[in-house]
Amino acid sequence: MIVGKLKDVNEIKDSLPDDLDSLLIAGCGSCVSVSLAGGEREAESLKNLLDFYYQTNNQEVSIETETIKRQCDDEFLDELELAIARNKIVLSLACGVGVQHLAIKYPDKIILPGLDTTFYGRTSDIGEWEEMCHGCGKCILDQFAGVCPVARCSKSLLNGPCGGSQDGICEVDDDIDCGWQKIYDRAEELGQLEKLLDFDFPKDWSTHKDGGVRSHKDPEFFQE
Amino acid sequence: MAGSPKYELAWIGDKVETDFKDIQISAKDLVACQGEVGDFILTCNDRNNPAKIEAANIIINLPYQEEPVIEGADSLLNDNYYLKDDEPAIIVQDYPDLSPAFISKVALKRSLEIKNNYPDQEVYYLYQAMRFLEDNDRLYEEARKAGIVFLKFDIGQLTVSEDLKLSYEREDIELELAGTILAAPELKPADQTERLARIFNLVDGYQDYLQLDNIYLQPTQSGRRGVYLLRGSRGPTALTYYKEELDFTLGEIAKNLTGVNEIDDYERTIDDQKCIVCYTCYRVCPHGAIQRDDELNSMKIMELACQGCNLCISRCPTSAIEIDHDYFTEADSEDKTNLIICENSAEIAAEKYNSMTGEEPLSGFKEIVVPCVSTVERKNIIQLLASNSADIMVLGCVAEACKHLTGHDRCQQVIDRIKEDLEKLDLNKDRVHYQRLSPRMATDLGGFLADWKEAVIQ
Repeated sequence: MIVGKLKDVNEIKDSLPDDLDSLLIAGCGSCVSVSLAGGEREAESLKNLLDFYYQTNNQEVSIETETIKRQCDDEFLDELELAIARNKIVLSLACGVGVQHLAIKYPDKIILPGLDTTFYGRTSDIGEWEEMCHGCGKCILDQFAGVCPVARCSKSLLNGPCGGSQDGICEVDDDIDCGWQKIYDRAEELGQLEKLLDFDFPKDWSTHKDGGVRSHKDPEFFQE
Repeated sequence: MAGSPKYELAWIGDKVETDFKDIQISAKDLVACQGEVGDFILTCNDRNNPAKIEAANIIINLPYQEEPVIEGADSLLNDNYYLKDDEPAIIVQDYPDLSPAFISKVALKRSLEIKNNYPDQEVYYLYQAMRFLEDNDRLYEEARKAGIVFLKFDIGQLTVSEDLKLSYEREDIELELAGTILAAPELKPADQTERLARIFNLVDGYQDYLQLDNIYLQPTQSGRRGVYLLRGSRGPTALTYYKEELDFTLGEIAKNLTGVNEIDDYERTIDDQKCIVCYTCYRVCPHGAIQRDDELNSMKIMELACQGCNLCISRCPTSAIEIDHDYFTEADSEDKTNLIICENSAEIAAEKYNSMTGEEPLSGFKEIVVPCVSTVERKNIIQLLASNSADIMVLGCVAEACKHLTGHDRCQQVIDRIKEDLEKLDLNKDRVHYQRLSPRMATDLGGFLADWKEAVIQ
């Protein structure tokens, strides 16, 4: 799931024009709702907070909210049409994908991001998420006992841990587990340690950022 | 579920003989629990039991794990101990920390057992505090008469060396003791406890036991209705009144079997079109009252399990959970301080204060009563702040008096977040206040609100 984090409210306020008179806060009801950052509840709370801010500063600003199921697919945008028509400025509480999809669909509107899109992750505790995947375009989890060295080793090392791994903790931060410790432990548990002895050649990063902007087509929907 | 047996009671762990139609399930075999009081469905991974078991009530009854406190010494709780003829027996009850009260009884019985079986054996009994519950005073007297030497010590007055020699030093007494040491072990939760907390969606308590230190859960309730906790799943002192607690639990189960009522009159529903099955409600519910409805692919509230705290409503990211009541509708336009109070603490304390003094401690405030302060959402507070220029005081509960177990902390998180946001916008964060009370703190409430009126309102 795509995980997001609501921007600090002062950063959001500073991104809005000084002469703001109306604003649509557009929530997104999928991934970032699950990560408690961009759903209807956040949209409403933010609206109330900004309303209060402008009221206190004697500025008349009309703020409305509308939350749709997904901001990254055309079909859901119908529900936003009327609200978008009423507002020049839209604060999108979707991930970076949703923000840009709105900008593509509504080129004459100013679409601002209300979230920082952080990573692809899992829910590790109530209100806590952990990065699990970098979307590198070539999954190698089968070789590493199901623990991704690209995403879960801070240095994305493919041939074992660096010298900074101490007692299962990464040298980058005491709060980060060493990804390679996890790979080793899981491989040992599964009896797959010999798999780790294989030497890995440098990963082909052309499927990731080195290959430029990525897109793909499902052959069932496209003819050669 | 057609064909499945329906039990009145399922024991997870050890079973006790009762008149109920019951079944015993090993904690290791249990993998899931759905449903609510009267209608639990337990999924088991045991070939001797059907995979799905229906039971109206559940008792989790696990033994403690014992951890030795003196390396190399025998456990006082172990019936198979070996005594050498020429060495004294040394019972250590409270080393290094105080043991739970029931240990006194076990230790007294053990010392008498040794003395009765081996009258010539010297028996020393080292303790920090003797607990006189049930017939302990009789056992104590008997033990003294039998010639058992009782040595009371305070922290630091008893040390144990690696070769198991005890040094006892107290005022004018200095003793070196060696012999067979039978020491009270430290008691820890059973090894399946953490798994069971997850399966039953219970909030972990003190030292990872399944019961929190909370007046509403005493003596054997868990946060989930119909699920009861005994012995090593409940807490470090649970064995002290084990028989009474077992009787209480069986009594509760008998009552449940005649019917269980919903806790309040409001209707809470989950809009299956808005629910995205993110499990936030499931995770925050302190009463394990939410589960997924597979047919609707939506979460649903179990009516008998729900205890009406509204935490799921206030935390649902898609605002999919609704209640047919608005606690905040009549926000006051006058400049009265908005007082949001929990019906289980401040409201009761205010009534007590009134009956004690004849004064109305809440007069002069705009009072908003909620079933739990976890009802409060950020948007409610901001709306109240915008409605007038007065302050907002939220009166929640102290942890052990919070009927909804985590509600007091959840509200604190909301208040902290609001204050943080207000500060970031250069708005006055000092208009929002949070205090914790228990229903017993009537005088504190009265005094506190009187001071408040004097300092802030006038």
